[in-house]
Amino acid sequence: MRNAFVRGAEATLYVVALIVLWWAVVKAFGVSPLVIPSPERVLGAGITNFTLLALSTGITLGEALAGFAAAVVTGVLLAVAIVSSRLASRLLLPTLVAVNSAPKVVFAPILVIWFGLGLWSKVGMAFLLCFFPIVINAAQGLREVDPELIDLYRLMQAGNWTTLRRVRFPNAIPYILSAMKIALPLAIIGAVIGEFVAARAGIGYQVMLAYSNSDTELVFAAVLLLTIASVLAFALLGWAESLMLARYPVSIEARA
Amino acid sequence: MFDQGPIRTVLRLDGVAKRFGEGPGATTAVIDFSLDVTEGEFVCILGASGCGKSTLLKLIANLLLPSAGTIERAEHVARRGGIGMVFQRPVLLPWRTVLGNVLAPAEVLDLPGWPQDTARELIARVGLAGFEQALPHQLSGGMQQRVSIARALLSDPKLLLMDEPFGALDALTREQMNADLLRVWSETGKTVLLVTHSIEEAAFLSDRIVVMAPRPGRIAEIVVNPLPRPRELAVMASPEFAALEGRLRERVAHA
Repeated sequence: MRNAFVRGAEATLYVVALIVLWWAVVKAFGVSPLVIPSPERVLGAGITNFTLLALSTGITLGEALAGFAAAVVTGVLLAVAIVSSRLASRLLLPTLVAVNSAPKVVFAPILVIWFGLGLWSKVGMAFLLCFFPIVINAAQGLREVDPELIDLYRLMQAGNWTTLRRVRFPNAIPYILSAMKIALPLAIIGAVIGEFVAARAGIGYQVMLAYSNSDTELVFAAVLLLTIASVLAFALLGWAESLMLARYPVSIEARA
Repeated sequence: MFDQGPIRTVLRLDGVAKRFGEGPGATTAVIDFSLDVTEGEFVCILGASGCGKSTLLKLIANLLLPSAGTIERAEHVARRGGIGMVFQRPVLLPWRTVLGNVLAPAEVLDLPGWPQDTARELIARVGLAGFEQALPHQLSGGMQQRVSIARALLSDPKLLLMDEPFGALDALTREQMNADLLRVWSETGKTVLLVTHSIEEAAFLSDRIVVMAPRPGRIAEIVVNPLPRPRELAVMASPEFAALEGRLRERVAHA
């Protein structure tokens, strides 16, 4: 408890120090507010436009989370297919590797053509960016089961479904959670990229709008707010992970 | 299938062989293995590493099919849950408690009665009362192996297969586990087939000892254990025990 308090104080001091440094650099070198606005100007822009920025961040996070959730569900289902069927593994794995090795940003215009300017093209982009690590890590978790544990279930003449449910899936949970921690920031990147390409709302759209108006203060405020929101979302996920992994002896490092 | 007279055979292996691979690269793990196991018997299969002992257990468990020969199992052994298995490592589900692990077979098999009560009883019987809610990684290696023995007993299997179950434990824990295993065996009346490379263990536990010769794995001799039952650890200090050990050691050396 005391330790947590000390660490919290440390972190706060660190952030405050960074802001002071930022302020000092801007003042000392007389940096133009068009290049780097001072902290109080950014804060001012943030307060003036708070409703707009908060709403936009909400939209972007919503898009990201929708894509993320869809990626987790389909990713785990595909991993089950890959692990259960050799044919699926032969067909799906090369496809996935091919799609993954393409720079996924180039798909953004296609998604806009397909799903329009609204939310769905951003959800699609978020999905596309974070889907791959989930499939790969979930498949690894489903596969890397102690072979003698599988022998034990075969001895009891357990079906594939029972073995999946009782052994393979629980075994994969740390892998899936670890992959989710990689995937969440990717999903947010995907949503913002989608908004950069073509959008009518969201924080990425507001950043582009403020940029074209040379409103650097608003750009900074928007970027900061999204960063804070992302950090909070990530921390929430990490907390949920630690709750779920309390029963597991070792942690798994996911592969990106 | 079997004669249901006063002495019941639960398992019969006749000329069993197992080859892995094909052509010139094939290896023969087990050859010409014939053995009858009687109900309630404790049989040890003794041999050095690489003489096909684990393959043999997998064949008996029907996890592998023999390349030649036949394996007959009595009806109550061949049914689902009729065979319990204990490996060298505990092979527990790390995310489940001791109780959850012992109960795991009940989720696969249709077990009569109250598996919860049976599981608690078995946990107590293997000496882990009070640890029902502990997770495997909170227990020592010996305790984890006790959990896996309790799990193997949950379905009340007629045949218990043990693949060097205490091989990974230190010598003192191992002796204690052996003594406890004999107690559980005499209380439950199971038929046990235990694979080991420890002469002492085989001599202490068994009714009969199948001495294996390596490459390819085959029977060198079947030795009937003359030591009286019930046995305590003290029996290991007796001259009869030493004589049996000597005989087995010589047999293994010339296998």
